[in-house]
Amino acid sequence: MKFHQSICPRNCYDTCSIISTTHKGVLISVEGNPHHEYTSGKLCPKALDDVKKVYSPQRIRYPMRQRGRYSGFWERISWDEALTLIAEKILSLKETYGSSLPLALNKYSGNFGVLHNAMEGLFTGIGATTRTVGSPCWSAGVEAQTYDFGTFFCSDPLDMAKANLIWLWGVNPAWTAVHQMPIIFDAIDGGAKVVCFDTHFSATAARAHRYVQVRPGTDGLLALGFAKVLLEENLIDSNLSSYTLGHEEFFHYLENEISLDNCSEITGVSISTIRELALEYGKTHPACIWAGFGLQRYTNGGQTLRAIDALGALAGHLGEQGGGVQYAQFQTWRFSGAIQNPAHPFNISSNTDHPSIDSLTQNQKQTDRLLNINRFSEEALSCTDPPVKILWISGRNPLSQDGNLQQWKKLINQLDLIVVNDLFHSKSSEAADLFLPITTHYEHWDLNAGYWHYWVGVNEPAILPIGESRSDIQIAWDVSSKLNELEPGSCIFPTSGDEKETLLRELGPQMLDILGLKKPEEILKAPVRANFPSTAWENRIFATPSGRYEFFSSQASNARLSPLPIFVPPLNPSIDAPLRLLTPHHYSTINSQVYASGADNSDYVLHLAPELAQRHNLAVGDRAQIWNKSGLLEVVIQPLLGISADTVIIFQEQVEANSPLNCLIGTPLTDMGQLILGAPGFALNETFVNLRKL
Amino acid sequence: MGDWEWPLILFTVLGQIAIGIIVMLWWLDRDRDHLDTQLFKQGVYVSGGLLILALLASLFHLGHPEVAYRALAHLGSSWLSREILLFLLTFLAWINLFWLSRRQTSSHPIGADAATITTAEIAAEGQQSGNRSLGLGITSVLGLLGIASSAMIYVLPRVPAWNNVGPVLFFLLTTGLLGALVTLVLGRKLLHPTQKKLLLQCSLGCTIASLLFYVIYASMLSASMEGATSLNFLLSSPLFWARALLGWFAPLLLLVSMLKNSQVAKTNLILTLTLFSVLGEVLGRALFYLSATGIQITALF
Amino acid sequence: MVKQLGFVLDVNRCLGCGACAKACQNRNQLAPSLVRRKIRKIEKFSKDHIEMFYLSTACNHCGNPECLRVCPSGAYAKRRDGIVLHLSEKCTGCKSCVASCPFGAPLINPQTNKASKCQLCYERLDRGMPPFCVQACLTGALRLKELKDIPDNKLLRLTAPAPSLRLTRPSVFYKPPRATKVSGFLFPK
Repeated sequence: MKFHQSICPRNCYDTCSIISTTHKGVLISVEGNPHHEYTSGKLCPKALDDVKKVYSPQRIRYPMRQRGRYSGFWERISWDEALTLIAEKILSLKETYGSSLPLALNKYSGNFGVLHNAMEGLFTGIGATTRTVGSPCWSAGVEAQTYDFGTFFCSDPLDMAKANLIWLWGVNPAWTAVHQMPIIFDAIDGGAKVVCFDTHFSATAARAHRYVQVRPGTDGLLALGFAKVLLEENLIDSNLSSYTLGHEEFFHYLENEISLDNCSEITGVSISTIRELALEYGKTHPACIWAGFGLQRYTNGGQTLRAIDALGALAGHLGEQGGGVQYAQFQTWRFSGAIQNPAHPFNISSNTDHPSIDSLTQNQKQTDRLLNINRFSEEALSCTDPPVKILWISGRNPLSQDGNLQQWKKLINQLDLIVVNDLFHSKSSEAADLFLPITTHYEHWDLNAGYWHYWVGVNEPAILPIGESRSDIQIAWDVSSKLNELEPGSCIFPTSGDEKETLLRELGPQMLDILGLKKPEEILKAPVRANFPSTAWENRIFATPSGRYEFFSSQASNARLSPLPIFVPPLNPSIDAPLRLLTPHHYSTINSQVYASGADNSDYVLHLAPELAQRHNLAVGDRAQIWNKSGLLEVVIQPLLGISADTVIIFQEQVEANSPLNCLIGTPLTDMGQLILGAPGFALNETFVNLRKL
Repeated sequence: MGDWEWPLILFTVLGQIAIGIIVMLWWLDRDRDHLDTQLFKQGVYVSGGLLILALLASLFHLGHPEVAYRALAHLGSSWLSREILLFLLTFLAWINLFWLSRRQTSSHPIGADAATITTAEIAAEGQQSGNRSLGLGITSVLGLLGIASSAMIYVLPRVPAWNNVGPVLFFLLTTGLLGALVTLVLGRKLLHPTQKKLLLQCSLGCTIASLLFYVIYASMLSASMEGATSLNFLLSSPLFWARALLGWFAPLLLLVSMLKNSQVAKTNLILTLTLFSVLGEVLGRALFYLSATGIQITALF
Repeated sequence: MVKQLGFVLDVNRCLGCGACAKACQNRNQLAPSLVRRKIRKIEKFSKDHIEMFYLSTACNHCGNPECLRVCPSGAYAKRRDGIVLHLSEKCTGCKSCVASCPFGAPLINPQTNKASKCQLCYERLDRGMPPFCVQACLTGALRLKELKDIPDNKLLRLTAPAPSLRLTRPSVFYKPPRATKVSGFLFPK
């Protein structure tokens, strides 16, 4: 028996440290690392299926070519054939168009390991290419917190155990961040009260003392309502003037623009509840708000986060041990970026999506063609000079997750070559020409950081690659090698290398300092916690231009946004599509990432308020249809408690259905994200449908 | 809901017929001489055949028939162990009966002259007849205990539909009903009309009792949630109505009309009646297994 | 001294996430049909409260086990620490235990045609390690305890409509659930 250090690379709050056990080269079990203070020896049910996932019979083990897109006729080919096919196509396009811009990369968080940025490195190595920019996930909130605090940064999640009041706002950790729940329970055992704000009675709400149903997209107004009560009741932090900017203007806004009657009517929360909760929040110290990602997936998402931040600031909870407004952080991701920026005199580019934000240089904007990841198909189609001809999809499944599938269909028709590298077939690989099998995190080296806790660590391979699978970085080296073989000098990305050495090079002086290490090799021993203090903004010195918490942000103003956090209504339903459709994560999946272990649902389950079901004469298990301009979906009915009658929910479960859930989704964008991440985020929760019984 | 337990259906119904025959023979033999030797022999053979079939069928219920002997290991508390032991003892008792029947001379040999029978022969016959009655008695008692043990297997707290006297009662009633009818079929030429009438009356009694107890049983079921589920399942199943028709209503009609009109000797009627009753009981037993609903744990207290 | 180990579930810490059941299934390498640990969701609601909690149950290692009573081949044994063990080598596959267990703990293993049930990872316990389910529980909701040591006035027993089930004395206890107070103006009446 041998033990290996692994790290779960899913796009998840928890980024768990795993101890994997092998016997004679076979992975036999995975367990949480007991010495990692956040993972604390436990894994979520998704990771517990990792052994099955690694050896799944559905896993693709060899490079495959599809004869005819969507045909399902896949034939096994050799790596050399696959690489030659790709390299020849790239070179011939470069010759035809005199540019490498027809080559597009669509990559995101399928695996958050740093070595996966080799795909960006490869593309940069080829030349100026078409890339995605922005994030389908957290853009609006990131930008909002950047206006307020100067950057987005959260306390060490263990800090929450010290809170006396915890507000879980639009977040469902019982399903999506399970390791936070024992910390919350410890706080409860210490006498803390937990209030859960959500659109529906979630598994987290069930464990809270109190659940407040908020009408979707109105959370910002609710926060402003609370702020108004704090102001009226004089529960404002008396030191505000020493560390904040623009609170007077904000008070003025609250006094003149916010009425509790209006707030109650729009949010669906009664005035008495608003008063009661506001008083509790104003009087209890420390009090912590955890603002979830769901809150900001609206056209007003950035304002919502700013309003919640402002509420926390007003009550004096910022910088308080066990308090604060927690969202996420990216301070532990200050890797050197050597992988995605191969040295070249004329071409400086960078990883674009989950970015070292600072490195979005002017230079790159001029060279690469950057398309909003959330409107990729539309924007790619509008590129004509030159058109996009090759699409490489890596760590993503856009045909299952993106909006506007009609545009995607058009784009696919225009493309000469679609390459997908993945572990399993997906909605996206159905359209692909080439499938390149990749390794799991049990089969390659990697370096991972979390965006919630402060830990960074190395993932070491536990077993040899399954079948002929290769790591993303190996594939990038191989493509570069093939390009240089066919046309020397055509790609400056390395043609070979050592995974371990490459990851160590990602720990530059800045990272070593953050981690308190002298040499990169020290991280090989065990995961390391960044040496930040446990409480974010504990000195109340902020990273904003003024160094203060900014109620009034000139950066926002410069971006043609309101300088103050304000309430902007979300989109309204129409007569044609009167119901808002929410599609939150299910505990068994992260978006479309699920590894079949026998659960084969053939229907999407539509959760709705019992009274809405009644209105449509629907009972549990009945079949119904939801539709809008974009598409139509058959569903099975399941009433749900605590949801309002103008909202329906489909959790993103694995479903073997002909039409995917995203056929109903367009590409509404969030109000913020452009400045910090290069593109606004995906206002996924602004999707509306109609319902009829079948 | 339960499953189609063919091995168990065959084992219980066939075993109960086999033992029922022996019980009927014992009953008919109560005043010596009344039991025709020929019928005794036939009865013993048929009963034994059925018993062997039943025991074979029961093996198919086991995941591992080859180690069936292990199932005898827990007589202290397992009704299944006791059932198996009692059925094996019943089988041993039957072997004794078989041996007796081989040695038995016909009590009224056809064409023999009664005058030629000697005192010694009469004495021997008396002895034989006594052994026979004792043998039948022992086999009957062991068999009935075996059947009661079978039934006790199903008296489980987990299954409200079974956790009552129902199983014991219904298993014994099946024994009486089918034992009487099959004996009647076997002895249709050998039985006195009064004996036939007795057997028919016994069948009628068993059928009426079965129907009455079923009604009581059903009303008891509706008291618990799982019982109500069982009841709902039963009442909505066509099998149940087939069982009611074949096992209760048709036999009742036939029996009443046969006894009223003294048509006790009509072979066709006897065969039809027996066929109905056997089918009715087999379906009834199938439903017994199918309708079993285990308790669901749904709450804390 | 005779002991009685048993599961104690703090329903206020149980997320219903299923990690316990997954760990049991995967680490014991059970066939998909052999579900030794099940999670049930219980929901009750009143005007302004919702009580939603989960019951994670496996074999309850009863004080008075039905399986042990009915098994004709003596394939069940109760250890001195209270664990009810199924001894596969004695099993004939007669299914008596399957039919009799009020908690549905024993199931027939399709590969061996014999019964199979939670053995409380006794080999791990004997080496001082917790059972897989308890080890996997993220929140510490599921614990294994020596029941005689805890005052039972603070705990609830598992129940069913039929009081006869108490006779088996299941060695499993639950902390009383705490309901969530709810507000919001479109809440169903």
